[in-house]
Amino acid sequence: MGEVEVHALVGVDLDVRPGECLVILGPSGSGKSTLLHMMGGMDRPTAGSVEFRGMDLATLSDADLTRFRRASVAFVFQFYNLIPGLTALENVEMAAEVGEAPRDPRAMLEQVALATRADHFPSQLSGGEQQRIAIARAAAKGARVLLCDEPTGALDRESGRLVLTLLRDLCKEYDTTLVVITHNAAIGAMGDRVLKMSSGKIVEVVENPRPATPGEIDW
Amino acid sequence: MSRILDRKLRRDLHGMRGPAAAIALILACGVAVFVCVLTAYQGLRDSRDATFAAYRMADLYAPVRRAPRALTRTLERVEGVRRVEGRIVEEVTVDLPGLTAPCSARVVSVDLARDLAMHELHLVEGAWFDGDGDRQVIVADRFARHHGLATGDRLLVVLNNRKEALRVVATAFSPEYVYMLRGGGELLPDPERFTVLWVATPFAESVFDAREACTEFTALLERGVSLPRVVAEFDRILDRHGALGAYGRADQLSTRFLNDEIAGLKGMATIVPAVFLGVAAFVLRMLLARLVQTQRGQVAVFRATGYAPAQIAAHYLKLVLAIGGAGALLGAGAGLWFSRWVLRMYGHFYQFPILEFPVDPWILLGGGGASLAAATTGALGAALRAARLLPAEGLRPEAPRVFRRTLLERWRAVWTRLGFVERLILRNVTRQRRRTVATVAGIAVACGVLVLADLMQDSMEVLLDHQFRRVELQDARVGFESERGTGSMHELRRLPGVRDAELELAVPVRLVRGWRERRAAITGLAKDQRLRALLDREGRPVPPPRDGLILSSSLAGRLDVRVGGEVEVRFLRGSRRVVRVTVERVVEEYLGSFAYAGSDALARWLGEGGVATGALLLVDADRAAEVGRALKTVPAVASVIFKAQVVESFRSTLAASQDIMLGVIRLFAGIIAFGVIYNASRIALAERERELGTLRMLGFRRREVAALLLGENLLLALLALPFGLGLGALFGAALVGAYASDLYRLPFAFEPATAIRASLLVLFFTLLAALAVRRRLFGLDLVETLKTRE
Repeated sequence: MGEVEVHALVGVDLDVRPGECLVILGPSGSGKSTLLHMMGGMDRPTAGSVEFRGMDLATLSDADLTRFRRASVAFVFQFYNLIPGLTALENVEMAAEVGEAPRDPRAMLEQVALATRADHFPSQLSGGEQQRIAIARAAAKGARVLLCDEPTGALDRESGRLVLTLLRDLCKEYDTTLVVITHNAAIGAMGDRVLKMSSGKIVEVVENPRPATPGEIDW
Repeated sequence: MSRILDRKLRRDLHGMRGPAAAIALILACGVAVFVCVLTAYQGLRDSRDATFAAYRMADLYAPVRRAPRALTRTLERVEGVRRVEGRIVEEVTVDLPGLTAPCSARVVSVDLARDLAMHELHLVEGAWFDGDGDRQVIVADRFARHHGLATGDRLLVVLNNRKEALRVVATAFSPEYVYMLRGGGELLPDPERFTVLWVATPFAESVFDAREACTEFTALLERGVSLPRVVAEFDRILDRHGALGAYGRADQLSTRFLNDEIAGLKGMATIVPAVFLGVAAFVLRMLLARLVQTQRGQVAVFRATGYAPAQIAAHYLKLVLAIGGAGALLGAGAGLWFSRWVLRMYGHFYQFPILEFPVDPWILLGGGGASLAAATTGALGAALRAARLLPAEGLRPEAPRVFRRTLLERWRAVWTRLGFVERLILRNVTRQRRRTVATVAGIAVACGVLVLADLMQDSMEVLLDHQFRRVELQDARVGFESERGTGSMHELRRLPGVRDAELELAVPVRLVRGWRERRAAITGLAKDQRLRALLDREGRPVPPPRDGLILSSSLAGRLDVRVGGEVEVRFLRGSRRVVRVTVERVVEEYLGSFAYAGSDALARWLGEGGVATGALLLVDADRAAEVGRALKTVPAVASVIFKAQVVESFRSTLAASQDIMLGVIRLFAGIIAFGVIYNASRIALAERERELGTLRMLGFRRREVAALLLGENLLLALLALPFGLGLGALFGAALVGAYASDLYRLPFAFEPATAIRASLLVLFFTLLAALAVRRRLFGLDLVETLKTRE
């Protein structure tokens, strides 16, 4: 099982444990998105290292970084970032097509309870539905790490709760490491660990032996 | 390759089908011109080569006054000569009952038994001579069709001063008369008043009192033989018999015109398509850059998911290749179809027994490849930029554009006086500099192409005006059958309807300077010449030469002689003297290669005076028909050419082909203008949906928002006009240059009306593009545009 060790931003030192649910809390501008991008091999640090299963992402070539993203991580973004020209199902297939251990796209749609909307285009779906498609897309890849950047940031409370529940359930079911970034402190309750960031630094790490289910969270 | 990316590709293409189709059409225009012109070029060239080979076109022509046919043996012994034939060639007149003026014809004798070593005749209708061939004639097919002659009809021909009724046995094509010109500076075949008549040798010998004699030798040469050496040898052998100067196939009149046309086509095949493909590449670059910009976020997601940069680059390249491929297919198809039309059009001027319609896969591949290459070149930068985009970077919103005051805004006096809409327009135009430049360049090219279409017409008009209103002041030109004394002038002047007459003397010569030499005719100019003006290209009169020669610039160029230089004049008639003469002046003229001398000097060089080969007449306008009829009865007159008819036939023949050609050029220019402006508008609209939506929310009417976009387009079009007009002039000069030959050159003329017409058309296409975008603009979903994040 892999470990993600991060020396990032301003003297940030962090281990992510396999299978855990890590919530990174911080106000906007605290550097949490950058941290997430580094963990996902979308960006490189100017100094330091980002290790995944003993390989330093910071020194990988572009081609190797692409291979890393293809095999090992999946993303969920605040604004869903579905491809507008592809249907819901195709958006999920897009990830399955490159994943190393892909899961059946239709089954993934069923898991997020949107099998009936398979042929709809993103513009025909609500925000919550789009984010569920995005989760199905991330899950379809079969990656061991799921990185979520403000997954509920653009959603109303009900939709947000549903999205978090799906994330949590999927990760439990598939034994996936889940990293969620948010500025919403209430969401921290669902994490096995909560990391608080401010101005590019980790200011506090809280262990949470009894994480709440998303249904119990109120914000 | 990715199935999903391919699906996205199809949807993207569908979403941008308007701009994509516009670009594909521009590419198609380039490919079509390329395929059409090159195919026409090949078709004409192959038709010529196939015809010359199958019908055994001679390599060498050696006209003489008269020589024994037996000389063929002597000539065949010249090294490098394969075969020589002697024949009788005589200028005669034909009396067609319906025609008011005499019609001239060239009688060419052919072997009775059809044992032809060269110049095989292609019989269209009828059959070869029967019996002894007496009073039988084969008529040029084109002439027969023009006059409705059929086999069995009788044709009245004046042969050696005797009018004979000849029976038409057949109609034919000959490789020698693919372009059937009488000669003497004419540019277009005139089937109304000129034909070739083939008669059997025994009949020709008897009517021209030329038993076992001939007036022209033709020869087939071995491959790789030095033509000048054989020409010199022929001239030496035939000198005693009145050699008029041997010449090679390339100088044979019909072939010369044909070769010039083929060379001109080749020049056009490269210039015009390059312009179209260049513009398309430009517009495609603009479009794809915008697309990639819009899709940054999508690219980032694909990259974040693990798609490789090469896959992204390939995705966008595929997109432009689809557009380029559509352009290639459409263009190749249209080009081939159009080349058929062009070749058939050529068929009206050039009559080939074998007309080839080639389909050269290399031309199609070349055209298609050029389209794909242009598309790829245009889009490569944007595609690579997309591929290199770091995923994290693509997910961040783009840094807001920095708005700074433009130069114009600092000019307060003007700026403060502008309305709000004008300010917005000016800001946009000055801030999107790259796109402004690209759009202006595209419109300018379209404008240039429009100008080019009109320039060709302007040139023709200037040429007609110059030649037929200012240089040739006569109404009719009379050609004598043979040289006449000056007494014939009085005879002509006495004809009813003739107001003035002037004799003309044109003497065949060979002009020699060093190793360069050229066959030409020296025309004598009297000091008091009234019916012919000698003008330079600017229309300024040139005084007649005193004791030297005036040469046309093309002839001077061929001889590499300048003013003050000397040339050797070898007269090919009468005394056959050789004199050395100074070139007094070189005149730029449009039609033909010419040499002029003062008539006194010419008589002195020749050693004889008082002779003429023709005459120029001034005729009462309403009595032309009467004059024509009267001239038919004068035996010495071989041909009469009325200027009005020449001009008329010039216009009618050229107009038919030119109108369609110009229509096509205008259509193509329209496609460019429309495509460029339409694309620019669509991009501007996509970029500013938010801004325009906001304006609508603030209470702007649709009309006002539309005016904003239209105003921007009109401003760009106006900016492009001066460049476009200049570009058009450049295109025109290039085309005039490509078509310049010894035989004629088109003047470069740019009439104000052309500039105005082209400008109006550009503005029209601008409006058309605005109309096409308007629907989309009015269809904007206001709420959606304001929600759009990017």
